[in-house]
Amino acid sequence: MNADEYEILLVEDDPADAELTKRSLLEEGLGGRITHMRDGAEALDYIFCRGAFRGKGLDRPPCMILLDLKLPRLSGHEVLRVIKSDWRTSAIPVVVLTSSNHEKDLLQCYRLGVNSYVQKPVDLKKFQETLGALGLYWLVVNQKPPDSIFPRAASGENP
Amino acid sequence: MQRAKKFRRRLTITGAMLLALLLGAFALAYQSVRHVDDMNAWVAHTQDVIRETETLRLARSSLRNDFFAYRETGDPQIIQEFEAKRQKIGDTLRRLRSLTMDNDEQQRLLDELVPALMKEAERSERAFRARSQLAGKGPIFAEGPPPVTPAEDRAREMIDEFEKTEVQLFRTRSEAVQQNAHLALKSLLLTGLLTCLILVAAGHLIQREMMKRAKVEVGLRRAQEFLGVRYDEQRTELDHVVEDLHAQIHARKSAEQELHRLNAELEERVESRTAELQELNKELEAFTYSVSHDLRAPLRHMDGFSRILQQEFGPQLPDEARHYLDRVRSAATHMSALVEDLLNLSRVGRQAPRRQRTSLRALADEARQEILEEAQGREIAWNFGALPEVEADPGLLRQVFVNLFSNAVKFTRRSSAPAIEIRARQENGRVHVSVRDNGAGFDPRYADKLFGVFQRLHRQDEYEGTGIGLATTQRIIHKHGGRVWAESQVGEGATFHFTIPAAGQDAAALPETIGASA
Repeated sequence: MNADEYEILLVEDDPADAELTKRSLLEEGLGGRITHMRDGAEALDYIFCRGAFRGKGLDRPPCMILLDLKLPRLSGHEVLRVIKSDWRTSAIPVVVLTSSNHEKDLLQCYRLGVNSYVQKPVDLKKFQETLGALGLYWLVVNQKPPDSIFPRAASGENP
Repeated sequence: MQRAKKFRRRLTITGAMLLALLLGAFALAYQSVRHVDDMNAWVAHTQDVIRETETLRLARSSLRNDFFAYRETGDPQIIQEFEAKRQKIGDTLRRLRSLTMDNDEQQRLLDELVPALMKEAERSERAFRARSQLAGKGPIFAEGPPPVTPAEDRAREMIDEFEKTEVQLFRTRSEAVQQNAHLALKSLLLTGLLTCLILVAAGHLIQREMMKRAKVEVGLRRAQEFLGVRYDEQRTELDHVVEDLHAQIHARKSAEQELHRLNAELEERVESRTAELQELNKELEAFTYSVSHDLRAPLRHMDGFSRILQQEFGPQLPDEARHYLDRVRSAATHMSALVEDLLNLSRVGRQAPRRQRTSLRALADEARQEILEEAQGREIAWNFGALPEVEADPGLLRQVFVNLFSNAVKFTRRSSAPAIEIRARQENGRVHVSVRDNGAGFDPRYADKLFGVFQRLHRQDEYEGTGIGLATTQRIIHKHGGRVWAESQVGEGATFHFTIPAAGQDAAALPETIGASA
């Protein structure tokens, strides 16, 4: 798979976590194009090409969104709800990547339609392997939805 | 009451009967007296008629005598009296007619008598006239003395007959009067007798009733005296009882009020305590949420960057530096395990078990699969006995098996032929499960410390652990209304026991089995 062909959107406020995640993705050969957003609001602006991202960014929707739950401004749950309730973005695979294995979080995410829920292991090696498995699954094994499902996702229309 | 009524009725009936009799007798007497009165009138009437008849007879005789006297003397005085005497006869006859209007027979006689007497009188008058024309010439009568004519005799006969009839009537009527007088007398006697009888009977009845009443009154007075005493006694007693009752009611009322007050107070306290607890619970939840999110991230970073350091710069680092990096990483891992176990313990503490029919065997198998990773391919002889179904929360009970198996695997690490045995038996509606290993075992003196949080009987460098697993296990079993305990000798392995309600049993209804052998 060509590195330019896919984009992974990482939504993570903790720079240390972001660094570890990006490094692990690279190690697993998934470093193609990683876009890093530092909070929920920024992530939504980016996805819907609005605010600071008006006219910039997306030709195509990201192949996968790695979403932390505990985020400043808009929480991961909020971001997930908006993505999954908008017809232009609901088909994008969203993987929640979080420290929490709180039952409440799990329930809420699955009810909002999350595609996968992964608790970040403390052991970096395990974390890296997990990310590798996720990338392999969602970007290679899994048949992604046709591009026609995202008509003019970058048109800048408000959801 | 009944008696008095009966008596009154009897008295009324008797009185009425006697009164009727008395009235009858009185009416009879009255009738008789009245009859006597009437009859007396008739008797007087008859006497009148007889007297008048006598007068008539006398007047006629006198007239005849006058006639003879005048013929003898020619005294004019006699003529003068003649007219008056004739008048008298006429009057007497008229009176007789009116008196005997009621008697047809007498009337018929009178019808015959009146013309006869008139004729007699006319003849006498004629004779008087003839004599007067010969006045002074001595006694002369052309026709001589009036002969006793058949008519004359007839008149006398008629007068006699008239008188005889009246006398007959007088006799009859007198007899009737006498008879009626007798009857009246008898009736009066009867009335008197009856009155006497009534008076005597009434007197007797009244006396009898009065005597009865007096008797009853005496009885009544005695009863009243007796009852009066009893009544007073009972009244006093009743007063006491009522007083007592009032006191009791009062006491109960005040107790009730006190109870109400206490209840209200208690409710208030419970409410405020509940609110406090809810607040605390919320805080705790926020705390655990924060812990699960935020405490783990730095640990991950410590481990992650230490590992990167080892990977990237490992060859350049002195052995000691690598050792310290190992220490950093294992500390991070341990801390992570502690956080994980504490969160788990807290979760178990807060949630009520969701009981359902659960297969022990399936849970034990799942737990063993999970533990096999920790066993890192070591040969362990697992021996499962027959495991029945129980009434439990499968998720929590699975944790119990995971904890117990994890311990067993950990402490058999140094055994030459590690073996883990799981057995179960039913007793009193509960299932008694035991997990036995042939591992390191522990000093039975510290058996009671095993289930405390952070309590460990082994050094960390011998057997790692958080000291939270068994506390969690105990909490889960207690939540199911069961009991957990352990037996062991150092070097001879350990056996962990727990009880749990059998399938279809209600934990709350089961007898306590705390006394089971430890």
